[in-house]
Amino acid sequence: METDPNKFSTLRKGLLEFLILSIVSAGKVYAADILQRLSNTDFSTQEGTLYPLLSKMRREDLLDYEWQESGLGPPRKYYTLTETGQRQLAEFRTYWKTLTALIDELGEQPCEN
Amino acid sequence: MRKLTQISLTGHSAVFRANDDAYDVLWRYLERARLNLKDNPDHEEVLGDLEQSIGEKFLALLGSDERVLTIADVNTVLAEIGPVEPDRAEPTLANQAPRTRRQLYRIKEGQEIFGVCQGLAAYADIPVDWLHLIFLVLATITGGLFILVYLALAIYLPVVSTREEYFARQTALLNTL
Repeated sequence: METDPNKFSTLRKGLLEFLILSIVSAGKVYAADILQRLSNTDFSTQEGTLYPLLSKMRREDLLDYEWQESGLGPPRKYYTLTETGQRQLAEFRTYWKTLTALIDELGEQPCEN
Repeated sequence: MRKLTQISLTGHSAVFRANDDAYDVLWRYLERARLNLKDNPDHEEVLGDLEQSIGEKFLALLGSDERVLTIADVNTVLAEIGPVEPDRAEPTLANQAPRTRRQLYRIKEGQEIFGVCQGLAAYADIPVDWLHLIFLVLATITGGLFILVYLALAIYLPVVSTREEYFARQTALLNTL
């Protein structure tokens, strides 16, 4: 039997924010770049979800943006990480490693009692 | 005969021409998004971002074509943009009304006699000394009859060894509801 896909959806929802931090950490991006990077992954998402999340992350001072002219069409918002954002991403990466190590470790040893 | 509407979207200088019903669909989408963003202090900005993206997708769809946007065009673009969900789509355990179907236990930790008072104190979240006092007073004014109540509780209540264990069980119980 396959795992119910909904079982992981809450987990994915919570992780999306950290994936965005990770994408933005690689350099200035605008919203469509973020969607592009996430497309064809398990975290593929849409503007309707991304924009409210970006606005929340900006309010939490994780991201900042600046307007920049684009070749064609209206100017775009280019996002960068703030210091808080960088710190949170570093914390998340450390925590993630601890977590995967823990899951592996628990899987290796049978219970002793 | 068909009514046409002009649509201007945030960030786009050009106006889009659309069928009346296509405009209605777009308008309803944006109103719904506005409603779901009402708790977001930057909702005007987010709506502007959405309008800008919708405009960009209209441009990509139309190309150099000067045609009027149909309801199918609008539906295609809105399906790409996806719905704006309210911030808290699903109620979490924390904001559900607390359901208190708690269980009373005897607690051995710190027990004077059988730990009935310890159990009641943890259950009602009041200091155990108060319960000792209440029990003593009741036992006195009922001429010792209340001791039977205490003994009955001591016999019937299940027992846990520590307060910590008691609270862990309550949490587990609440989570299974």
